[in-house]
Amino acid sequence: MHHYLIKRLAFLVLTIVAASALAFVLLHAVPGGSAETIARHTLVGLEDEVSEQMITEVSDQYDLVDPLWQQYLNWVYRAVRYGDLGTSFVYHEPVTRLLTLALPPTLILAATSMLIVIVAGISLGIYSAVRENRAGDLIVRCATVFSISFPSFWIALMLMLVFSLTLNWLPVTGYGTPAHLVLPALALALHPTAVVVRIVRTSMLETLGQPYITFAVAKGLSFGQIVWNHAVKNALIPVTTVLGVYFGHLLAGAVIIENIFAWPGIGHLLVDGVFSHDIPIVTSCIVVIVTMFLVVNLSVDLLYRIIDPRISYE
Amino acid sequence: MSEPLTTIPPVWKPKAEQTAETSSGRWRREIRRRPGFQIGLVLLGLLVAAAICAPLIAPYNPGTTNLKEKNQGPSSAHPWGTDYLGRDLFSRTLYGAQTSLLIAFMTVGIAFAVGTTVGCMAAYYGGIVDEGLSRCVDLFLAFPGIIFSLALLGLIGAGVLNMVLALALSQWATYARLMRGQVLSVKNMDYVLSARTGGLPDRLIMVRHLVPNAIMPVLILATLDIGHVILATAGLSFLGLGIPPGIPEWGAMIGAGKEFIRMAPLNVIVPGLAITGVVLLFNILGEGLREILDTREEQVIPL
Repeated sequence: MHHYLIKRLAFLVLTIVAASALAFVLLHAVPGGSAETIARHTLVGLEDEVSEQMITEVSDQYDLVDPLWQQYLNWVYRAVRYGDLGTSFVYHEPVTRLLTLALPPTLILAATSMLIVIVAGISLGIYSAVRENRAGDLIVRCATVFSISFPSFWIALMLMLVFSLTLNWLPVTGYGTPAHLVLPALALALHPTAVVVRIVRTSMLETLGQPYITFAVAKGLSFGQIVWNHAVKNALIPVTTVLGVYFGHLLAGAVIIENIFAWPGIGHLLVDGVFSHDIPIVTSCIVVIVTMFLVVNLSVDLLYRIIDPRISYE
Repeated sequence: MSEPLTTIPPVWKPKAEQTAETSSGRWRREIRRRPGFQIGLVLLGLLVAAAICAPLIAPYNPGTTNLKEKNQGPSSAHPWGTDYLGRDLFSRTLYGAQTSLLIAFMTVGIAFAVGTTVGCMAAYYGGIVDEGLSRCVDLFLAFPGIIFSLALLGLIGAGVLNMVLALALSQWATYARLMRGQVLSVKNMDYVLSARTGGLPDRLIMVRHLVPNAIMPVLILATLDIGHVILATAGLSFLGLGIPPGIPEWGAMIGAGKEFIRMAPLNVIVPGLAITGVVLLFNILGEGLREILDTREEQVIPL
């Protein structure tokens, strides 16, 4: 157990370091990452000429003189030693401060969506499996096929059009009250919910075909007892691993949804950073998202081993 | 830790009793039994034909603005209405199909080629090659969804080719991972060993024996992935990334039209329905292909 945990943690840290190196080097090496572009975005207009002096100034100010690998090592050193992820080119504020402001909204949104995914996905999946090939099952299955084909940002706009602009039930954009949370969370949850429904349904059907279920039927247990006490628990075990992966999808999807609803989270920060070529912000946001994704996946893997003791530690 | 992003398609393995039947015969029979799949194929043909022939079909130039007729509802002159600059929405949606399909096919093509090559080499050579390539794949799989493409695309600037490269960079690893698992499952089969004993060079063993026997699940993944890439493209261009102004693209149309959603919802509804329809088509085709190849045998999960 301990060996396994240490191995996984070491691998987690290694992956985060490698991913941050990849993001850092690629984003600094592309044309948009040069001191000239940054000067254009921060000092003068996009169309104006940039003087040699400005480029030197910008390079000095933002530590862009050294070779890339050295810039990266400096960045990691300061991040680990002082918790300093650099200074935003645009806001002139520490990136760490901006991230701490943006993290809670994203976590609230992602957690709410995840809750919808788990509750709706599992209950609809079980319902669909229990009513296999009856009307309810067919409706759920059709709905899932459509749901995975809708662009989530379009659904977000449609929800906004119906519930905010036409019916005036919910606020259009913004952050702060639970009412603001409803539409973004729903739009974000739609896609993963559909996938989870399908996985739960398949897993349930497989479990219901097992010999021990036939035995439970033969013993004379009621249908409800069989489903709730015998089938559901076993059917949900494989679903847990998928939930971790879809948490990652939620984080990636949140980038677009946050921009539609003016939700002040990491996705909003990232896209603003991308448009203003604010490279410290972009790199740090990506590293934070990758870290969240990997940590959640590791937790899910560990949880998987706790709820299913049959799985041994390598 | 990082699972493949799409459900892994089951592997089709020829059964003993199927040896009498050629594989193309089996294909034809399976397809004939599925009218839904046939309709899907026909629709795909129509879609591709419509996209290619867009200049012949479209009643208007997709870029011609006419501010006098802006934000109109459906009429006989403009069957799907006009957008916020008075451009014909039907023509723009039709040309948008060109952009979306071109980007999706190119992205999936590149990701498929790179991924299968890397996966095949990793599995065949094993050892240090496998270790190096697999860690590289793991690294790319650590970036969820499209965030890496998004950051990269924002910095390298707009352009159809930039879009394709940025998307392919975030997709290839899934293919490599699936292909590696597939090749691992066939590389110790007797026919491969006998080819190797016979002195066939590595390159030919891979091309003649490993790739043809391992590729099917990866092809299914590619079909399902086309829908996924269309959604990703639309999402990025919705944010204003990747598509140069002037090229009609569904996501960009929604992004620009959302400012007018209250008074002219068609600006948003029409391109959205187009995306949904096309993605639905590719999802149904991918599912159909999976069912055709699935003989409910063991699933090989690449780890």
